[in-house]
Amino acid sequence: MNADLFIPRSLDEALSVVQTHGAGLLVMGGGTMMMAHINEGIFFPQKVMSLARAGLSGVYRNGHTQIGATTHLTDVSQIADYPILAEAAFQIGGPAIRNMGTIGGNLYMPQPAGDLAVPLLAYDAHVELASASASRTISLEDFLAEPRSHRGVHELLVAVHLPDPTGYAAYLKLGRREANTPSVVAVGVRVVMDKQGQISDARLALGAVGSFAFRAKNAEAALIGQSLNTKSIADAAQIAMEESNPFTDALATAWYRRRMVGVFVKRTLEQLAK
Amino acid sequence: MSKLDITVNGQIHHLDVPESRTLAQVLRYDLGLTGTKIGCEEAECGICTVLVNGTPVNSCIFPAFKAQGREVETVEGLAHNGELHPIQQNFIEHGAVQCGFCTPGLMMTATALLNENPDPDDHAIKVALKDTYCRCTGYASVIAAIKSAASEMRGEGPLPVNEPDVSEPMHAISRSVPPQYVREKVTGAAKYTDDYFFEGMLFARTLRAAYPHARILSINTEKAKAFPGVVAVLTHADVPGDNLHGLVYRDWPVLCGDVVRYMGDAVAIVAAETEDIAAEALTLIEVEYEPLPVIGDPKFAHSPEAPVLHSKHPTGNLLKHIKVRHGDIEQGFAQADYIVEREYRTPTVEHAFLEPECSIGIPPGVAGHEKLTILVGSQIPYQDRNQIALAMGLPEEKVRVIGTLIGGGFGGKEDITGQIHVAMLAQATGRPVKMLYTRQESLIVHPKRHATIIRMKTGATKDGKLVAVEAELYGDGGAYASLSDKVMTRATTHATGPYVVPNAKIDCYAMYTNNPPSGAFRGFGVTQSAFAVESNMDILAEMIGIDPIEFRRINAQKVGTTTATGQVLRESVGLLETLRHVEHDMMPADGDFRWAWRDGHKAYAWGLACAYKNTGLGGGAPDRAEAEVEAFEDGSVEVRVASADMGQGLAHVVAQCTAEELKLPYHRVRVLLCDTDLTPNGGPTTASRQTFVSGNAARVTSALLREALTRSAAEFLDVPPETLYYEEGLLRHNGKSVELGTLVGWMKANGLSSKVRHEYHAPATQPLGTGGDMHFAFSYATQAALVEVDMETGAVKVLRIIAGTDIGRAINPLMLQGQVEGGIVMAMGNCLTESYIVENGVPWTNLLSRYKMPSIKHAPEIISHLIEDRVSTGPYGAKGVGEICSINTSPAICNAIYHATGVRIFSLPVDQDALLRAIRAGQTEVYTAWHDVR
Ligand SMILES: Cc1cc2nc3c(=O)[nH]c(=O)nc-3n(C[C@H](O)[C@H](O)[C@H](O)COP(=O)(O)OP(=O)(O)OC[C@H]3O[C@@H](n4cnc5c(N)ncnc54)[C@H](O)[C@@H]3O)c2cc1C
Ligand code: FES
Ligand code: FES
Repeated sequence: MNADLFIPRSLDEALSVVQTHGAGLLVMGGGTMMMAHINEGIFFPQKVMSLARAGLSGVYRNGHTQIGATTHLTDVSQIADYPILAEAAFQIGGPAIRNMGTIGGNLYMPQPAGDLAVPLLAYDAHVELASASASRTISLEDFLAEPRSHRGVHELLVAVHLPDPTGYAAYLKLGRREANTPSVVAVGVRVVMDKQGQISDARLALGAVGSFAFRAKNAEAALIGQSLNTKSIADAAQIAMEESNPFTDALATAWYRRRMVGVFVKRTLEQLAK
Repeated sequence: MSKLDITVNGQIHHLDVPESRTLAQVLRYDLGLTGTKIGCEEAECGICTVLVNGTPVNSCIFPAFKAQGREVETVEGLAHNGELHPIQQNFIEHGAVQCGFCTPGLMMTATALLNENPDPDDHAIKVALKDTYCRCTGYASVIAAIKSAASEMRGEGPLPVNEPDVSEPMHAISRSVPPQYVREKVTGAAKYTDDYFFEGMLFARTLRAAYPHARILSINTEKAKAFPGVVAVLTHADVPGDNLHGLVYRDWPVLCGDVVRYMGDAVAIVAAETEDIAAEALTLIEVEYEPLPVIGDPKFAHSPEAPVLHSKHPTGNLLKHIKVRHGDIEQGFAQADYIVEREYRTPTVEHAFLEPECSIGIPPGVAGHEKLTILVGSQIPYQDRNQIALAMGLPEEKVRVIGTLIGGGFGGKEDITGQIHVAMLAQATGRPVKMLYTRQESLIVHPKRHATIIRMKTGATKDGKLVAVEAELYGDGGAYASLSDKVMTRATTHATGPYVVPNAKIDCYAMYTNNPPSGAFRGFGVTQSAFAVESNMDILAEMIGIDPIEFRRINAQKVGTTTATGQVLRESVGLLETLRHVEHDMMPADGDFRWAWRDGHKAYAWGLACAYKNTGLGGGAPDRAEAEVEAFEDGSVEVRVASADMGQGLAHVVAQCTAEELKLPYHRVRVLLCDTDLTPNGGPTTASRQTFVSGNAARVTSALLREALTRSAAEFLDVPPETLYYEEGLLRHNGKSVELGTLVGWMKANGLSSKVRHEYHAPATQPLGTGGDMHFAFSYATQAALVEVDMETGAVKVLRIIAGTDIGRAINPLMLQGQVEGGIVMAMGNCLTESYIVENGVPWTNLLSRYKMPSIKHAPEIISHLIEDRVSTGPYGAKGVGEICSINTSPAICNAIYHATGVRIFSLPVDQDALLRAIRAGQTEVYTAWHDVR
């Protein structure tokens, strides 16, 4: 790498670097994707800013949970209050990757990577974004759906916010093999049951089967008022398949991805039924 | 530049380094701690793992500034005061070190794991190491080593080593002695080519072709030459000698001048003060091309519409037509009650050795070298020298090739890569020049395993006797000949499988295309044909209604039977023994064996396949190796051969043979490999020949030295020579004895030499088509695979492999077991995940992350039996092992998938997507492979 390197020591400093250098600047979280691409000769950046020292890492609790953008995946994998977020983080890479990769970087990864969005959608996460002039907090759902061009080049992801979790959750990821593998599909579900054992609230998030991770809202709606049984599970799986918009890449065909949505929605819900 | 203060292995360093440095670069190039290896720079292979403040990171993508003020631990810090860390010790004891290139990364990842979890089970180890690859060991020994180290660190002592049973251990033979250089490999002291540095050394890069097939209209290097820091830019016009190289046919340009034939072709080379400058300079070279039509597959290459790639080749794009004719094919099929005819496809497969290619050229008169000297981790140093000398227009004596340690080869380091380029640049600049390939470059440039299309027709009678095999093979030879001729010959001659087939007609067409060249790869073509042979065997067995094991037993080669090339097998045919052992282990304790069963959406099944593989070059090629053995006054002995040890363990085999002949303690034998000035010619490390040929060379030469020593000792002790015997470094006669070292001193004083040099000639072989002995030995194998197929996803998991491998004699049982385990896991990749994808000549697989080889998470349970059916001409009865363990795994797995699902796989690697489609549609055949998805 032959580039100018900026290592801001605070968020403000980082934002002013972004302001000054704008589009020509590559922002680096943990660099697990970026550095690899630079080494591979895919990127030839002239200017790089590392967020490693900008004071953006850490998990805080005050009414809700806040996870700083540069919190490492290793630390995310230890957040016991959000078990499927922890699980999804643990399944990414090996220990070395998790010690470098960040939650913020993960949310910028194009599909089929970016696994953390799936459990985060299931937990109703919001993301906090900032630029030198303003900051905004929006739902993760909106953030993911925002066209890339729409996201200001002058904006950084600062933190992820999570309400206290309710209900039960499950997460499963299918990879083409067991190690170092992007998802063929990732499924995160969370359901809240009422006293009668009927679902009063449901989140069903899907990754790697669309241009971004999303909530299968029709399947969620179908679950409301149901108990978890063979039929309700099969119905939700079927609807989720119809709702997904999978693509073909080197890992799997769209046909296969859609089938796997069905299988893995079924399997996550079956886990919850147990 | 910026200040960097880091503590490495307890020592504080204050450095001034460019901001852009990665931690791996700082460790290796600024601090000289070359124990940390770089395999990909993509965060994919994990071998660069070091600890920062106790946690593992991939140092290849870890920006150095992030280590500011931190503590870094590397492999060099594991041992204390010369005493090995339990992890290092156990990696040695359990045979977890082969080429050693991955070893530092595996050990550092393991260190971090054991810091957190002092008692990890297999699962915890697999989860922690899943991103740290080893291409050699197959991981079983790695898991054993880590568990044993953990036990030792808990104060419970090391765990026993899982050593295979072998018969008749001798003094040093059939003993699991540690491999040579293993201590250096676990401490980080072992030097691979990129670990060498010389005063004033320049760094070189190569400009590759921009098209898979194009005419070069012009090359302009002016701007690159003018770029500050660039010392030389050379093109085809600067090649001093012959601008062609090649191992069999000389058809491969050193630097292309008129036309490029694949994306890895070299067009220009640059030497500069730094790697970054050299890389930048490449972008300044202007080349004008006129793109030409591309040949993307071997069948098209054979058609009249295809452009001719090598106008001088007498048979056009047909690189070689190889024929086997045996008996009368029409008569044969006329006798058949059952005939099956199917087409199989296998993909291009990449070696993915973890050490990318590296060469260093040193001009004469520099760094103490009198000649033009090339340092390279090559499998064939003498052939390198020959090809370098021709291209440089120099006599061979003016060139020296020094082989360094090799971080894995598997056949992929036989052809010339950067050797000639660094020779040219060193000559042109008068300075040492290093050329290290990036992983991406390595993937594009070096020859691979041939993709094949195999149509196989097999006939048998209703009582299960094979009567005829007719086959047609197309092999994608790629842009240059490399070893296609030899490899595809092996695929052809082994296309009947290890069976008695009275009538055979086999035709193989090795074709030139615009894909990367294909060459040697563990299995040498037999991997591909075995997939077709053994699948057809199972299909036939089912048609006939006979058990697949019984069917193989009926037709198995035995002593006295004849191969399809007309060779009568006179000894050492252990196939039935391998089959017996494997069958025995497949049987459950209650004797109620089932090929397949279901549990919910999981289907389980066994599959079985057999294989054989020649040892040695064969086919009439003179196969010889020279060895030199010298005894010293300190009582040690050095044995020198020019054969390469790419990790498979040739060095210890040679040392064991010498220790055996002289009844010396093993640690007193040193081995010097691969230096064309110091070691005699050992021939290529290929074709599973090294144990046999170089082992024999060491054995015979050591025996000659023994005779010389005995004569002298008889004189020294004044006793008859017949009464002398050797014991632990002493020469004894009842009552009297002399130390070997003392004897050597006496010999020197009396003007006698304690050095013997001898050339060993392997038994003669006959060319294909003559009906004589094409090979002097064959190794045999049976493997059974237990697989689990998820019927809802199509995912295939290999749970267990039972392997019976007839290798004649296990010279080093533990290391041999490591070869078997490594071969099996590599073959699993070949079957399930690995495919090097090229689209109309353009490699898609240009990143390691796009090449999916098995990680520790895929390692199945392996039960390995070593069968020792001695071959009289082998060293102590040994024959080749490197390849035989890697050949029948794929068909065994595919046969198991068939038993589990009813779907037969005709194209590798297995595509779970297509498998699921077939399962759901009720189809029984899959003709697409994973890469066809795209
Ligand atoms: C071997 C290996 C295995 C992997 N396995 C998986 C996997 O299983 N699942 C998965 O999801 N990913 C996987 N990854 C991808 C990646 O490592 C992770 O997604 C990681 O979390 C990315 O985070 P990072 O901080 O390293 O990203 P970086 O490489 O630093 O950045 C990624 C992108 O995010 C942007 N960015 C980073 N932080 C910010 C911020 N705060 N504000 C604005 N933009 C920002 C960068 O500009 C860049 O475009 C793997 C990678 C490797 C090398
Ligand atoms: S992961 Fe760093 S060199 Fe491969
Ligand atoms: S020993 Fe692991 S890669 Fe060679």
